[in-house]
Amino acid sequence: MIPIVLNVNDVDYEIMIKPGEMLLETLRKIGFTSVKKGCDTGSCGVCSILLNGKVIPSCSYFTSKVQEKKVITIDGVEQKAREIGKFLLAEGVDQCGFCSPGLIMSIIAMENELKEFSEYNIKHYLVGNLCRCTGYEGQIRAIKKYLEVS
Amino acid sequence: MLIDNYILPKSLSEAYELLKKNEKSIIIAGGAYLRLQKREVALGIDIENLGLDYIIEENNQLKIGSMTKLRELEINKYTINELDGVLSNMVKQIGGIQLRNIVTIGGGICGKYSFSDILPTLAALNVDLKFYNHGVININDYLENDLKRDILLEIIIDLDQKCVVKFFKNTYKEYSLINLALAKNSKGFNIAVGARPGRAKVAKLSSKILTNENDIDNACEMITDELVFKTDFRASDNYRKALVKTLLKEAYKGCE
Repeated sequence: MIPIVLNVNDVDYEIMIKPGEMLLETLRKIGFTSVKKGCDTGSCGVCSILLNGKVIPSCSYFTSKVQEKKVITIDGVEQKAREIGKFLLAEGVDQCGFCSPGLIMSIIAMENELKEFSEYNIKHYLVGNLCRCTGYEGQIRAIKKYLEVS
Repeated sequence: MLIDNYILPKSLSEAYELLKKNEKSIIIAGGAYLRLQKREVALGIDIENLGLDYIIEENNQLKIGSMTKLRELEINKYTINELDGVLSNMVKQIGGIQLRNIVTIGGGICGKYSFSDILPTLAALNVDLKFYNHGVININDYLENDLKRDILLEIIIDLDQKCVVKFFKNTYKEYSLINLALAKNSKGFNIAVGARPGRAKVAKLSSKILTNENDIDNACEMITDELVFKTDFRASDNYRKALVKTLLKEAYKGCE
């Protein structure tokens, strides 16, 4: 086991990890079960978190790499998440809700990174977030309304 | 993948010494694809913190650090503006942005993945690879030969070229059923095809026909004879042969 200090939502966690442990496993182990486990291959986006402001799939990132970096989960952006969540709810696309935390983290990263929110830009940025309940039309409507883009 | 020990060296020399001393060690770049492999390694040597994440333009060449993430390649001003944006275009549909924030160009090269969307472009551009121990090696020599126990530092790309990449995917971010890159420089054309399935390979005879005769139809006929196309769960060999001709024609139009 390797001792590391993991900074999650501005709190340091002194923990022991296995060599080669993935960040998703570590986060869930220390209580961040809002970070979901889906495909476990970096394809579906449900485990998305922010690492130094960039959105990454935590299932595909070695925890050892995270030292001296900042991890933000949906718990660390509660107010913003609630705000975006209202738009998703209004369009009825929360449904089972399993993909919502990952999608919301990706929307936050997109909002911080992009300057123009055309439909192509939004789809290109969020294509890595899979939803098995809906057909994505509702999400696009919700995101456009949230971004005040018609 | 099971890793018995995981180290983040503080210098390249330390990383190389660890690699040389431990036979069952492996270099870890982004790690996203590596972790999916079913194997056990005694030591993972992570080169995350060794300053290999950069893109610079120098003497009409682009120098890309091996730990540069695919997302950076997608949005960097040099990769967008130079070579008609082919270095940005080649990564745009690899997974989602989440994955591209992790996956590195060096990991993509050294993995020699058969599904790679970056290898055909780099092979067609005939880029040089700078290794810690072996020095500079041409990418096509590297793809055809086994070079082990070394660390890729930098990718060096000559900017006096035109290049177009084309791929065919079932969905926007899916792995390519086939991909092709066509580069043109003062010596002529260079065609590379990947996901045949099989790692990217330069079609030398077809490139020669295109260079000497400027005959795209003849080059399209030659390419299916020259390279091996196989059937897998994604597509049949015949489907790939039909697609590659269309991709080559489209790329040729873009390269004129």
